[in-house]
Amino acid sequence: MTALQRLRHLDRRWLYLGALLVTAAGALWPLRIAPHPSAETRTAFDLAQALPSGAGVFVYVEYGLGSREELDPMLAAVLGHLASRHARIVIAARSPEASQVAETVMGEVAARFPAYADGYGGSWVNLGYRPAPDVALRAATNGIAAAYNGVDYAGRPLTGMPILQALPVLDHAHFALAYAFDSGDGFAPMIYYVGTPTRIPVMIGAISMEVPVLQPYLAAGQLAAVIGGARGAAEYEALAGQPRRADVLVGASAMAAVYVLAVMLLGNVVARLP
Amino acid sequence: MRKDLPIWLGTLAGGFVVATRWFSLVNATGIDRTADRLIVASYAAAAAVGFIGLTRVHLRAIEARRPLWGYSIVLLVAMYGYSGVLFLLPTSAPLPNWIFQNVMGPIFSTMYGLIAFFITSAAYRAFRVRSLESALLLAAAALALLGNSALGGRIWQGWDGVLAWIMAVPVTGGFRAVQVGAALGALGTAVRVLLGLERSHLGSPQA
Repeated sequence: MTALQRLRHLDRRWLYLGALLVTAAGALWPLRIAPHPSAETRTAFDLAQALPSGAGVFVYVEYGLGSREELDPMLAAVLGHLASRHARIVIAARSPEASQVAETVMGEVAARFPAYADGYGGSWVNLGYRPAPDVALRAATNGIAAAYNGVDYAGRPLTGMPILQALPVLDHAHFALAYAFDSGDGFAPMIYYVGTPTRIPVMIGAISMEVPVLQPYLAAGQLAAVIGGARGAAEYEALAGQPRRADVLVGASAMAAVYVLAVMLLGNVVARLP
Repeated sequence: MRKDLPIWLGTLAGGFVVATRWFSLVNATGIDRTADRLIVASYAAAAAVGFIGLTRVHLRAIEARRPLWGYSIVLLVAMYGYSGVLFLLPTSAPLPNWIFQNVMGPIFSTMYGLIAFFITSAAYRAFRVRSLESALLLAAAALALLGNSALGGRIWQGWDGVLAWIMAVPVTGGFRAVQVGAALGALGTAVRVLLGLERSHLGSPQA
């Protein structure tokens, strides 16, 4: 029996070991590949870049802990860019864990911008999560504070916060842009309850696997732009001049992609052996 | 009666929600906001029911020493322990934040990371060229893999254009067809539930 014939009965644990070694190598010795910005990422960047100082931006965080590695760099890059444009940022979450993720990432971003580090309630606010999140989102188009029971993520009263006096309603008159950072189906309520009725341009930051699902909405004009996966995050970081956190992910995922391709080819060669 | 009451409740609740969404006159009474509050309350009630149900199932498993009953203890300790911490402390306090970042974070990341291993195994055993269709699928997967990883654009500059075309034409068309089909199916099911024709959610016919 030749070595190739032995591969026909290859124990899958060898494949797992190969995947582990390749991804670990990608993380330990990053392959720096600066991707060319796609048209989608550039559109997202241009829309944020055109914001006037003090513009209202609604950021809806849907993803949880499992998708943090892929979406945290993207969220940080976008929030950092918005902070550099002096936008007023209202954050809400679709799950309890997402509200904590948003708090962590925005806390890191705010630390880099003095106006945001000391500007909670004026420059940004984290509304957190409410049960029946879709209902809260829809109700925010009538009044944000009431939709979130009048308190923020940590239970502080929203009454008197300057940001919600300037941006009391989630509508086109107050908000210039809306984002959803999503690893599941959180984008849908943003389209149904925010983008379509209010005409606020909606952008989605999504994990790579979700990008194909978003294509029909993009083609129909219901989404203004999609930033896709680690690659989209790296492109956005480069365009917005933000700290390069996603480059490592792009390098590691490139190595993993080559490994998966090699495994696919090997599987086909082995299957054709007599 | 056991079946008729839930059917009528479903019809009334569904009709009420449809009316609040479709007729602005209904919303002028402010009833849509009442409906929103009822939905929020039902979410909270559902969470409470889930909490109680999970506790009962796992307590029974522990009492009966069913296989893997030790994990039931872990589940109950984690569920009541973390709930207790959040009951006593705000989410932003150091202890809940530490548990979130250092216990839940690695667990979820590990679960998500396991996908890579399954993809590798599937790539080896399932992605076999057996027909023209499967060859096309393999070629599209290879193009998308390299294109998404940013490596394709480095190898050949036209790669990004090819990927953009795949996403804009075949992927958009395919997903649009799937989504329209699913929406029509959901609409049909909703109409059946509203009219009381759909009864499978109430249990078996003998129940």
